[in-house]
Amino acid sequence: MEGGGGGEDQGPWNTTLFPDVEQLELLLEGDWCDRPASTWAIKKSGTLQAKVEAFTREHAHRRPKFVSRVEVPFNKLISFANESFGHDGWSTEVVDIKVLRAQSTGDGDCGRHSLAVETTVRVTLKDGTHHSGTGLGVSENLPQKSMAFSKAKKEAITDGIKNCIRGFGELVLAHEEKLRKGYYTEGGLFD
Amino acid sequence: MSHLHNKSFKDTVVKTEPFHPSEVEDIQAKLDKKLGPEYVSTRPGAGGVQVSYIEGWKALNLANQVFGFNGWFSEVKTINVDYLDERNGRYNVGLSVVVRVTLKDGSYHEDIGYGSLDNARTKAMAFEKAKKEAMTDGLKRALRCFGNAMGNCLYDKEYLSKISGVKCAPPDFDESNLFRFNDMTSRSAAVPRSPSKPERANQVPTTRAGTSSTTTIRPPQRSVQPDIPKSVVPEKRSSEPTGPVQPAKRVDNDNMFDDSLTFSDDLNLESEDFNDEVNELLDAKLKTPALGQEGEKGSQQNQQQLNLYTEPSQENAFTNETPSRRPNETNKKENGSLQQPQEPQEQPSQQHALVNPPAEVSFVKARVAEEIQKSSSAITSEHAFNPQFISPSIRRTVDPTKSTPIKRSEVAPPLQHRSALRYDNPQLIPNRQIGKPRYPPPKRPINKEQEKEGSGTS
Repeated sequence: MEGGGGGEDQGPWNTTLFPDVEQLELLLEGDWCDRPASTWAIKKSGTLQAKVEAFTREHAHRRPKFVSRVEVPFNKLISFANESFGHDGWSTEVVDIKVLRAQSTGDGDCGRHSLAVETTVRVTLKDGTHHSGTGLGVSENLPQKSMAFSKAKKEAITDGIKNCIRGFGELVLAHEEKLRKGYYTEGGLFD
Repeated sequence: MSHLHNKSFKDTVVKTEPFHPSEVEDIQAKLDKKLGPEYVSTRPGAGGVQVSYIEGWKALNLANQVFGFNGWFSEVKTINVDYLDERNGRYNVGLSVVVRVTLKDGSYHEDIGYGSLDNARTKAMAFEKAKKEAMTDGLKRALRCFGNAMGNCLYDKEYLSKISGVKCAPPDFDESNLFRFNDMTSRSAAVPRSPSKPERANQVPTTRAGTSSTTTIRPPQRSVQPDIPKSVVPEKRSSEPTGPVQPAKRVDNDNMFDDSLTFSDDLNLESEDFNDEVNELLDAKLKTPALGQEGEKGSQQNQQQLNLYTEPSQENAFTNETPSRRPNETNKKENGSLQQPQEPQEQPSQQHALVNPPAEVSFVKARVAEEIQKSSSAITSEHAFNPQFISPSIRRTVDPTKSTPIKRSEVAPPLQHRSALRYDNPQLIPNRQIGKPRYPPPKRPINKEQEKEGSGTS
């Protein structure tokens, strides 16, 4: 196809000279899903994981026996993330909110509302490394619909971000595993 | 249910620029700090527990403080109406909003906010409250991800138990720090003038007639503010008779009333004095002969004084300085008067006075005014007129520096109306209340006792 702009009889262009930016973005995003984009990400994720583990160790003795693992409170997790990545080093994004089941029995003031909400949350580091996680929020037998929705949704988001942040620790572990197995050996990113 | 996705959300390309490295450190240091007690509010939560929270406006202020007013912005990503029920003509609504808070450098946090209203009379009310509530909630939750100072510390139980013990002083209300309407206006020249007015008006009674030739600048002094007690005003007339003696100056006086030189609010048009004076001036002008040699000279001189007067900014600058320079300067000052000063080159070249106004203009004390005018010596700070000066010989009834309600009992003589009682012709009694319908109708008879008293004493 020659004489690009001047041709009048030519049909519509079949090739897009300027593809939609969004498509490119999708490609780029796909690249660094659950894969560290830089050594910075590995280092900082390692720091984060260390902090979480330290907290877990410290509070392990308080753990009741029927709880399988120590829950790191959300505010602690945010603090750890800010300490390791910096306040400008990580971003959170709500990708999706789904209401799994909603039950309302009774009417008016004596109603009982139960709800389960699932959210997908993505945490992106400033170098492009990102990790998606899902969170679940449940509210049972609450007297008001608004309370049920509010509690379930917020819980789901919080749970999602929690899972995401924790995911970065696992990301480091997975990366180390891959290194050991020689995953990146041929022309890999890291020397 | 209905779901709104912010279409412009992805499209808006906001130019991100990184914070300056020193800025980043500063912000990080601020964010790591925990909140002071003045930011933490408590409300009774579910189960009788005190819940600590931060108010929405405080969170906004905090974000502006930490990130800078142009360092962050917020967006609504989605609004999702979860339910909208109608029951008995009342509406229940609950909706969730996903809010994104983005910093200048591009890092962002999203979180959900929830708002609801039950039993709203109209849909509009329900949505209004619910959406605003949801937005505030979402904003706070999103901000909280940025660090302790943005509210993350409020989830720390250890911190909360300690912060409840920390006392915080109630915030001061600083009136001088308010953003006022007149901040926008540029009438800076008129502003410093006003405070000196009441003092001057109070000083007027001490004026001796004919203390100086510069009584020509009387009209601006006449600008009596309405809050000055009336009793002061008539006494000013005593200084009036200086006028007719010097008809040549009168012409000048007339020039002073040029519209371009006086502000309408400087002239108290209601006052009788003012009207009298205007009439006198008009008379004087008619009497003055056509401008001859002498008249011209006079008018030039007058013009010069006129020019002196047209520079309020300089004169204000001077008068404002003087009180601070000599705060304890005492009773010697009697009256301020405008004097043309200290410019030796000014005297010979009076013809240019119209074109070149004198460089410096100031008020001096009336006692030395004439002397200085003759000798044209430089004005020392001792001779400067102090508008703040308060003569100890005058009893003050009102504090002119404060604006407070004045009780009738403080000002008016208490037994006045009793002495004004006239039994021969009761209609002439000024405050006669007999036969007058009262509004609002009194709950109990008020004036009976007084009237009994009045009739009893007579």
